[in-house]
Amino acid sequence: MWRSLLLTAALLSPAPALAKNVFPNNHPDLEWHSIETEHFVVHYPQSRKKENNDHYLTAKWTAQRSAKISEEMFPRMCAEFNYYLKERVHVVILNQGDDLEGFTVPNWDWIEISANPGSDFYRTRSRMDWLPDVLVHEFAHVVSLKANGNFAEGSQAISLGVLYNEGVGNTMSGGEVLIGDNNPWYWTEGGAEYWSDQAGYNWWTPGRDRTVRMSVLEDRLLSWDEWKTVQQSHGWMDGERGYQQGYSFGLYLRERFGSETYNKFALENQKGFVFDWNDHLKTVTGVSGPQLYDEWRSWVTEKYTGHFEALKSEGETPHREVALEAYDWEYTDPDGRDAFNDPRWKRKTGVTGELLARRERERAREGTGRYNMNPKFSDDGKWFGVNNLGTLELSPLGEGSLAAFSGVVHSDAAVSARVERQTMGVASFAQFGHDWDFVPGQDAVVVVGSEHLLEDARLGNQLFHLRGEADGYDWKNLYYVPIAPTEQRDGNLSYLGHKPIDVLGQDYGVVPEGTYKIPNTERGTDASVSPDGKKLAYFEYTDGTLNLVSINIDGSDKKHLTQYTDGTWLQRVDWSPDGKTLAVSVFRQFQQDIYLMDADGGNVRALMFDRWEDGDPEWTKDGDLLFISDRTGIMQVHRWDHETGRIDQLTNTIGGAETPAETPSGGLVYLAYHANGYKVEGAAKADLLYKDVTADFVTNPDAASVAAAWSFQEDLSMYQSVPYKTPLMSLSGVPLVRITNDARDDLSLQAGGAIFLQDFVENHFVYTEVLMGEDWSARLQYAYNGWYPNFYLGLIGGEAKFPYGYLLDEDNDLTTTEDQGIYQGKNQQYYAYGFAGVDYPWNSVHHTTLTALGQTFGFRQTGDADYAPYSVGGEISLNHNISTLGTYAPGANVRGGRVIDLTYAHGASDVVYEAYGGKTVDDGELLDAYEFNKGELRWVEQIPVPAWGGILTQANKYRHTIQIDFAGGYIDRNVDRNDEFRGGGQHPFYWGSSALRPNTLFAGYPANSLSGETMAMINLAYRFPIRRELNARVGPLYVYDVTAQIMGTAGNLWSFTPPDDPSLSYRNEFGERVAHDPANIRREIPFVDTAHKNGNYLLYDAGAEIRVTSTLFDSFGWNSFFRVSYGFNRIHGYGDVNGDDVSDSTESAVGDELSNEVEEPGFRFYLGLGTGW
Amino acid sequence: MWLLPLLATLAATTPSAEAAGFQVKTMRAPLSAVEVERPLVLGKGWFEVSLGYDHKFANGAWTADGQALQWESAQWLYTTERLGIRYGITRSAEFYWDVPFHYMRLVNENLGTDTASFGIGEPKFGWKLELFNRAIPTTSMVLDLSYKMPTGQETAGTYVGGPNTVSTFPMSTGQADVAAFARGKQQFGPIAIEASLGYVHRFSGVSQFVVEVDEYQFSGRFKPGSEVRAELSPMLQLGPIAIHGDAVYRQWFAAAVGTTAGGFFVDEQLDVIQGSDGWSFDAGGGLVINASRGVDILASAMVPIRGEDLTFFPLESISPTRGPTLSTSVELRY
Repeated sequence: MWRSLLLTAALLSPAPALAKNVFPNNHPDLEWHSIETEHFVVHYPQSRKKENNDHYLTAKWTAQRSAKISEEMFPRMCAEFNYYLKERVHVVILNQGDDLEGFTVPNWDWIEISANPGSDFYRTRSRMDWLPDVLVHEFAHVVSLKANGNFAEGSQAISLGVLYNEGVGNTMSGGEVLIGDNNPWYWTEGGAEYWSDQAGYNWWTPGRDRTVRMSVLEDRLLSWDEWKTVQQSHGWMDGERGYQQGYSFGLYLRERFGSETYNKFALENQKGFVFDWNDHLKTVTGVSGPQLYDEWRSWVTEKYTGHFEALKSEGETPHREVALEAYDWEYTDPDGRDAFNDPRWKRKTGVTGELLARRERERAREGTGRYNMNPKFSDDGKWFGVNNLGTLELSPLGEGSLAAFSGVVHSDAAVSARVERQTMGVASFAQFGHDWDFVPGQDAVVVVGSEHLLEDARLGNQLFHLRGEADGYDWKNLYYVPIAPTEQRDGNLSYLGHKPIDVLGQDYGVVPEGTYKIPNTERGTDASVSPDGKKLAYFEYTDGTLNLVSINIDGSDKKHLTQYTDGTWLQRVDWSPDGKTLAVSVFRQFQQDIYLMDADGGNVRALMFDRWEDGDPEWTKDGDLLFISDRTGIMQVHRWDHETGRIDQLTNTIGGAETPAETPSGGLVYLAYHANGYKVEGAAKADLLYKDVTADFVTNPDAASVAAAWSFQEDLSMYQSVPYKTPLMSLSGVPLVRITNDARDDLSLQAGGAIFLQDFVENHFVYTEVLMGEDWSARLQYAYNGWYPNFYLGLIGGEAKFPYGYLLDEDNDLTTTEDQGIYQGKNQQYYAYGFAGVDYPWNSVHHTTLTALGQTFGFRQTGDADYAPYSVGGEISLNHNISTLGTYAPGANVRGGRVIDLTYAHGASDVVYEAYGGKTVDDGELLDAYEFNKGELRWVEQIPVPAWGGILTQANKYRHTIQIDFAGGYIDRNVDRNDEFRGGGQHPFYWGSSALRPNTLFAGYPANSLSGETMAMINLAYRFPIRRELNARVGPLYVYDVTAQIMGTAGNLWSFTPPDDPSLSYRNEFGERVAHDPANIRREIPFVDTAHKNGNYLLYDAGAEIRVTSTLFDSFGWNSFFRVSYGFNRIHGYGDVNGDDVSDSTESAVGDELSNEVEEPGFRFYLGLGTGW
Repeated sequence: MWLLPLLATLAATTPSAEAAGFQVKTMRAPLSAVEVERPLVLGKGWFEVSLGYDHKFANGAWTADGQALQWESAQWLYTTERLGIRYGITRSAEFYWDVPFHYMRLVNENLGTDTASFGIGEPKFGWKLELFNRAIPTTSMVLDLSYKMPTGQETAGTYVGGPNTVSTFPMSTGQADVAAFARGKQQFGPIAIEASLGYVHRFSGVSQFVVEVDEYQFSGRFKPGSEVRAELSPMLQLGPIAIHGDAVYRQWFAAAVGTTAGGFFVDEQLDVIQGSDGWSFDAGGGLVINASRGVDILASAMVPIRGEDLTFFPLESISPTRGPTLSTSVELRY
C-alpha cells in the first residue's frame, strides 16, 4: 500500500538551492536595473549601499556598452540567417565575482555574461576586446540555434522513459532518452565564432590560429567523432580546440563552397528531424561529413606545415622545455619530433594500439603541467618560479641546472628527486592565470589570492570544506607570501623545503607563516613590486575596467594612476630597474599598445601605437623592455632598446612565446603554447634571434593622436536604465512520456509535461509537472531566491491504482493446494503533500534548510464510493547539507568529495482510517495520533586510493577510488510503518542518477523491503576505471569511459518487538498482536537484537557494477549502468515479500502478523540505459 | 489550496512583472485565420488550450441486435468538461492531451433513485505527424497516434453492481487503448473535406467494476472490443465562420472478461462475451467561429442514427447510449 506513497515521498526535495557564487545573481544587497533597446533588454546589478561598503559594485558602464554593441550587431547577425528576431533578447550582466562567465539559453532569449573576463581570456584568444567577443558569440548562438531549431522553442526535446520491475526475477530495468535537436559541438561553438567573424567581430586572431596550428603540428586535432561530441572530452583545451576547429572548418567551407555554407546547415535542419545532424553536410555540399573532415584536415595540415617550414627557413630559435628530466618527446631534429607525433607512439609501459597509445602519449605530455605561466627568476637568481594553475612553484634552481640553458639533462634520478623535493608550492591558493612578482631584497613574493584565502587554507577548513566566504563575495586580493623553506624529512633524507600536509594520501597545501593579505587591494591583480621592495603597482578591477594603482606593500598610500571608467583593459605592468618608470600594456579604443609612465602616473607616452597586439612588458636588468607582439601572426618576444629605440624580435617559434622574463645570463624563459598545455620553455641568450624589426612598429606616434585616444570617452548617455521589472523568461517545458509497471502484468503509460518559468535574474522560479495515466501525479513548486534565506513552497498530489493478488487457502494449510485460489484485486490511493521552507546557503558548500511539510493519503477499494483517508500528518525538519560535489550528479568515478546530510525532524501522524477504527497496529502497539522526533544522517565520502606503497600508488595513479556511504537514523518512539526508515535497492529512474547519494545501499534486497525506527547501514565501494577515454563509437553511442565498482553493505533496520508472552497481548480482527500495555513492546537494540520485521541480526550484501559514460546521437549525455547484488540473508516481512504480486493471506505459520512469504538469499539485477546510476 | 492565495500575494507584491515569457517568437509557424485553410497539425511553436463542454441526454439505448430501446423511466445525463492542450512541437508534428471530466446523473423515477457523480475521465495523449502538406489550397495528410489512459475511478461504489444499488459511476474502463488513425484534409476554395480511418486497440486490464462473483471482493480482468472507426467531415467557410457536417461510423469487436492468466499472456483466461460486438453510425454538424487567429469558438451536435449493443452501461466510451450530444468549446492559441 505504501509503495506509491514512498515513491512520491522520494520526489520531495528542497527547492533548488542557488548557492552563492554558483548562481551569483541573487545577492540581497544588490538592486537590478534594466536598459531597454529596440531588440534587447540589458540587466545589471548595483549595490544598494555605496558608503562603507567593501563590496560595492556596479555594472552600469558594462550594461550601457553591451546595449550599444547589441543593437549594432543585431542586423548583421540576423542577416546571416535571414532570421530577424521578433522576440527581445535579455542580457544579464554579472559583476559579483571576478571570473569569466558567458552562456546563453536561446529558447529563453537569455544571455548571461560577466563584466569581468577573468584571468585567462587574453591568453586564450590573444585579443582583449571582451564585451564584443562574448556578446556577439552568444548572440550568434541565439540566432543560429533558433534558425537551426527543428523543435519549437517552448519545448526543445521530448523525454521518454521506461522502467520495468520484475519481482520474481528480481530485476529492475529502465531506460531514458531525450529526443531533440542534436546539432554538433563543432558547428554550434565553431559556428558562433565564425558568424561573429562574418558579422565583423571576433576575427581569426593569433590565439585562435595558434590553437589549430599546434593541434595540427602536434597531432592533437580532435577526430571526426571527437569534435562532434567534445563536451565530454577530457583533454587539455579540447573545448577551445573544438571552438577553433569549428571556426576553421567554417573558414574552409567558406573558401570552398561560399560564405553561407555554414549557415545553410541550420536552414536545412529546420526542415525536419534527423537523427544525424551531420547528414546536412552532404545535403548542402554534396560531400559527406567524414570526407569533408578529412579534406579540411588536409587543408589545415598543408597550411600549417607550410607555415612551419617558412618559419624554420627564417631561423627557428632553439628552445627547450624547462623541466628537470628528459621526456620521451624531447627531440633535437625534425625526425625526432615526427617520431613523437606518430600516433603509434608506444609508451615505455607497453601500451599498444594506435588510439590508446595516442591517448597515453597525451596524458604523459599533459603530466608535466598544463597551465604553466609567468615564469621568472628572482633578481638574485636564487629562485625560479612558475604559476602552475594557481600554485606558485618556487625552486632553488640556478639557471645552469636547467637543461634548457645548460643542454645537460639530469641523468641522476636522485638529483631530480632532490630538486623536486625542494620545489615549493608556496602559494597553493594563488589565482590561476595572474601575474606575480618577487619582492626584491626579501625572500617573499606577492601573488593574487582569493579574499578568504587565509581562512580557506586552514587545514581543518580544507579537510571539512569549511569556507571563509559567507556573504557571497570572494574577490581577488593581493597577498604577501614569504618564501620560508623549513626543515623537512623524507625517510633518512633531510632537506630544506616546503611540503604539503599528507592526510590519507591527499596533499593539503599550507600557507607559509607570515603571509598576509595586503590591505586595500580588493579586486587587485597582477602586481609588480618596485626595485626597493616597498611599493606595488597593480591592476584594480571595477565595472569591466582595469585601472593602474600604486600602493605601499603594507597597504598604505594607495594612489590611482589611471582613472578609467570605460572598459579600458590593462595587461601586465612592470617596474623599471631604476624604479622610476612603469611599463604597462593598455587595450583601449580597439588597440593594444605598450605605454610608459612615470612611477607617479605622470608623463604617459606610448612606446608604440599600431595595429599589432603588444603586451606582456617586462624590463630587463639593463633597462630594456621585453614584450610580445603578434607582428608575424604568432606572438613572439621582442626587445626594445631603451637607448636606441631599436626593437628586435628575439624568439621565432611555431608555438609562440609569451610572458617573457630574462634569465640571470640574459636568456629567456617564457610561456610556450603546445597542444598539450602551456609549458615553460627556455632559450639561451646566444640562441635568440635579434632581428631588427623596428620599422614594423609605429614607435614615434603622433602625440596628438595618442592623446586623443588616451582621452577618448565614448558617449553612452542614450542608454539610460529603469528599475528591473521582473520580466519572465519564455515559458518552456518538456513533454514527458513514462512507461512503468505497478505489478508484473500491469505495464502502463503516463504522459504529461514539465513546465519551467523564471525571471531573468533568477529571483523567482516556478516549476510544475503533470503526468497523466492510470496513475496521475502533479507537482507545483515555487522558490524565491532574491534574498537569504531563499524561500520555497510546493504542492504534490496524485492518485495511483495498484493491482494486487491474494492467495486464499481455505484450510490455512499450504501443503494442500486444491483448496487454494489466487484472486486479483485493484485498489486506488490518493496522496497529497504541501511543503514550505527556507534555505540558507552559507556558501557554495554548506546550506541549511528548514522545511514544514504536511501530508495525507488514503485509499479507495473495490466497492468504495469514496476515498477513505488513512492518515494525516506532517513534520518540521531542519537539515544541514554539506556538499563539495555541487548540485548535480558528477561523473562515473568521483575522485574525492563529500556529501553530508544531517536532519532533525519533529513529526506528527494521526491514523484516521475508518476501516481500522481510526487506529493501526505496528509492532504490537495500537497507534492513533502520536508525535515523534527523528534524527537522520547520510554521509557519503569519496576518497582516492591513498598513494601508499607500490600497489596503492599504482591504484591511485589509475584513479581507483573508495566510496563510503553511511545512513543512520533514530526515531524516538514506535511509529506506523509509513513513518519508519526504509531500506532496499533503488533504481536511478526513481531516485535520480547520483554519485551524491549513491543507489547502492542494500541493493541486494527488494526496494523498501526493510524498515524500522533505528537505521544503521554502511556501504563500501571500490571503484576503478576499466577504460578511460575509450572514445569509441558504438552505433548511435559515442562511449567515453567504462568504470567498474565492487561494493558491499552491512547493517540493518531495527524496530520494536511485540510481546512474545500470549498473556501480554491479544489478537485483533486482522490477526495482529496488540499489547495490552504498550510498555510491553520492546525497542530492539541495534547490533544486539535481531530485527523481528526481517528476521535478521545483521544484513549483508555484495555486488558489482559497470558504468558507461556516453553520448547519444552525439548530443545528449547518456550514461548507463548494470548492477548485480547478492543479498546474503533470508528476509521476511509484511504482505507480498517475495515480489510475485500475490500476497499469501494464509494464517501465519510463525504465529505473528508477518507474512508466510520470504525473500530467499539471491541475486538482484539492475539495468539502467541512459538513466545514470 | 492555501498556495494559490500566497502565490497571488507574492505576484502582487512583485513590482510590475512583465510577460516577456509569452512574447511572440520568430520561429512560430504561420497560421491561417480561417479554419478551411488550416492543416491538421498545429503549426510549430503554437500552443493551444481548449475548454469544452459536451451535453448528452439519453433515455434509451440500442439493443444487442440494433433495436432502439426506450427506457421506461430512466433518464441519463452524461456531460463532459474537456481541457485540451495542443502544442506544435515541430513544423510537422504536434503533441496533444485531452483531459475529460464527467458529470453523470441517472434518474429512475420508478425506482426512486437519483444518482450523480463527477470526476476525471480517461485522458488521451497523442502525437500527430504530418506526412504531407501543401498550402493554398491546403492538403494535409496526418498520422495520428494516441493512448487512452484509465485515470478515472472505476468502482460502482458497491461490490454488487447494478443501477438500483450503485452509489457512484465508474469514470474509466480500467484499461488502456492505443489508436492509430490516418487523417486527411483537402481544401477546394471555401470548401474542405476531412476524412479519417483508424483502428483502436483495446488492451485488457484489471477493472474494479468487474467484480469477482465468488468472493464479491476482487476485481476481474476486462477487455473491451477493439474498434475500427471512419469519420467524414465536409466544411464550408463563410467569412470567419466555418460550417461543417460530421459522420462517424464505428465497428467494434467482441469484449472479453475473466481472471488474469499467469505469465506473459494475461488474456488467455478471458471469456468472450457473445454479442458484444457491434457497430454504430452517428451524424451531425456544427460551426467554427474564427474570432481571431488566437481564438476559435466551436459548437456542434451529434445524433446517433443506428447502433448496437448495451452491454457496458454506463461506460459511454465503449457503449454509448442513444441520445443527442451537444458540444461547445473555445480554443485559445498563442
